[in-house]
Amino acid sequence: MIWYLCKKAIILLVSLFCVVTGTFFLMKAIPGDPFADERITEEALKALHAYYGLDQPIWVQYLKYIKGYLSMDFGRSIVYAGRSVAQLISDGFPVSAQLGLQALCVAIPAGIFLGAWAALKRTRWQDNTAMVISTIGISVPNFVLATLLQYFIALKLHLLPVARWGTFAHSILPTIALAALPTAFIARLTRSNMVEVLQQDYIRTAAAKGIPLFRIAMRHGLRNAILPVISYLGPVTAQILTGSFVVERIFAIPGLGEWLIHSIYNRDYPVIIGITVFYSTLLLVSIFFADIAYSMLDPRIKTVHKRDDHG
Amino acid sequence: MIMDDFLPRTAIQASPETAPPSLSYLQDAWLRFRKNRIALVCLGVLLFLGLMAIAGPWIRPYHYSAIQLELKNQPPSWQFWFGSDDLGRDVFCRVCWGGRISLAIGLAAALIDGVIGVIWGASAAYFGKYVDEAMMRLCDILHTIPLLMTVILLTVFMGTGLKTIFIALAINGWLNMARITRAQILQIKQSDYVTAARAVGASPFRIVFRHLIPNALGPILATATLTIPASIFTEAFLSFLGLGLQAPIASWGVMINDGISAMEFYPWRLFFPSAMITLTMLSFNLMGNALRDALDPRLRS
Repeated sequence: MIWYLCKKAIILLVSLFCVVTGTFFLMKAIPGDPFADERITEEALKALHAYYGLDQPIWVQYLKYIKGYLSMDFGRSIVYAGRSVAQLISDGFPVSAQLGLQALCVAIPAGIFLGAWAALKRTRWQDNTAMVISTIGISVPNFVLATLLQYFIALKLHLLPVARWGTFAHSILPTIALAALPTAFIARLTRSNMVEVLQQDYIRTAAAKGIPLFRIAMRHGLRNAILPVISYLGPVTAQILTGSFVVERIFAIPGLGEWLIHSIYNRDYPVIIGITVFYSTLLLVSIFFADIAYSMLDPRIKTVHKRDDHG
Repeated sequence: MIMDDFLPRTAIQASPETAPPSLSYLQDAWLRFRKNRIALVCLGVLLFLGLMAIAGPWIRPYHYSAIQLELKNQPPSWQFWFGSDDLGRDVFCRVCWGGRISLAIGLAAALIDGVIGVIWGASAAYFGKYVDEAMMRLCDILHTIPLLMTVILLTVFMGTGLKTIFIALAINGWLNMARITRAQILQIKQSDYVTAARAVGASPFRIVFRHLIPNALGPILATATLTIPASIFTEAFLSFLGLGLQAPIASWGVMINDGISAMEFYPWRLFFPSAMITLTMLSFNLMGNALRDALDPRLRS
């Protein structure tokens, strides 16, 4: 167990180092000067370089960057004068986080319910229905789903606001659009685990004792079947993150994803580096904790790898 | 009751007429695949979509990027099967062209990921011990690096375009394949015929390519099929955000992004590319699942 924890921690640290270092050098290796412009004078260019610390040797910049990373300080934006990257993150991230958490709160119960239901009614119409729903959930790209929801529910039926961010009503459609893929994913996972669990001897024993099917499913089946779902919360976080880029774009939500996309259009390197590294850290740490939580909760400590779907 | 009932039973010699025909693995898989109606429908849909993508741009008298401003935003009709967009371009031709791009990306990604993943996973499993440990730890590290971040950084570094998308898909798309191949091969490695092959002095190369990989083919094929929709999605997603293929190219992601601004008045510009990508991904996913079931040797009849 200790060895397993250490191994995971080492992988986390190595991955973090690779991502953080790789991001820095990749961005530094891009040819051209972010401030290059015919209208700018030589002195102004020098002053700008000094202001952003670009006049120092690369390893000094790197050490400063690592130091900044450890305190989550990524310097200042090139395009939005006077704004720091940390400020952009603290503006945008709460919005994205709220959306993501709401989506998780929908996806986890809905996915587990759908999967468990399908497993209990295996090979009957309920199973097929649930699996068709989940295959559709996996197959409909999130930007298609989001636009369809926007078109029919907001534009045609006027039930909910079309876009923008503010009240809870504004967040309903984005949440649904974001939750669809993780729901489908969790449903499939729960189903296959539950089918496996229901074939175990202790389930037969419980049934032989005369415990009603519903109670067996709840007490013995579901409890063991949803355990592996925990270890998938890492990939699920990645899916929600990917989805948030699209959903924030479609519903004009001022989240962190929108800032990142804009910073790419604008070639605002400090912002690109800052948000990428921030998001990567978030993902790596959540995968780490999901793994740890799973191995702690599972009495059999399985360390085998399982596949995951796109996202 | 007679004494005969207590005699040990002798093997019944099946007459040639009643014995089930012996089938090769692939024949058996095809038989089971054929029984799955949904999978057959999906195969049909995919063949149709493929045909449409290849032949579509030829059977209509328009070029996918030919601008006809006097015919902009036409609803679907005989002249424009799927309508026209804000520059008077034929949506049908553009959708077909987008299909070529998507299918090419999906198939190429499946091929690249398949080759790298199978070689990597098979080598790790075959050599075992420290080699396996080192190779799989490298996979673990690459696996934690999120695809999205790789793609975004590469886009900034190399500029947008097809090349960037391919490299990004190749960087960590093969990890899954490597793991599945490794798990399969570890299992097969234990079997007697591999031991026998080694005993008669077959080279490692021969054992890997002649015995291990063909027997692990089922899950490998199913995984490769499921790579296709994932890659199609990634390209469309990037193009949608403006980080993938760029405007004059008719990628589905680009078209959907264009269509959103016009969805209130010209919904066909959004509807057709959306329907096409959904149909394609759905068919590949369903077919991949059916293949996985059909090729699973444990389910052989």
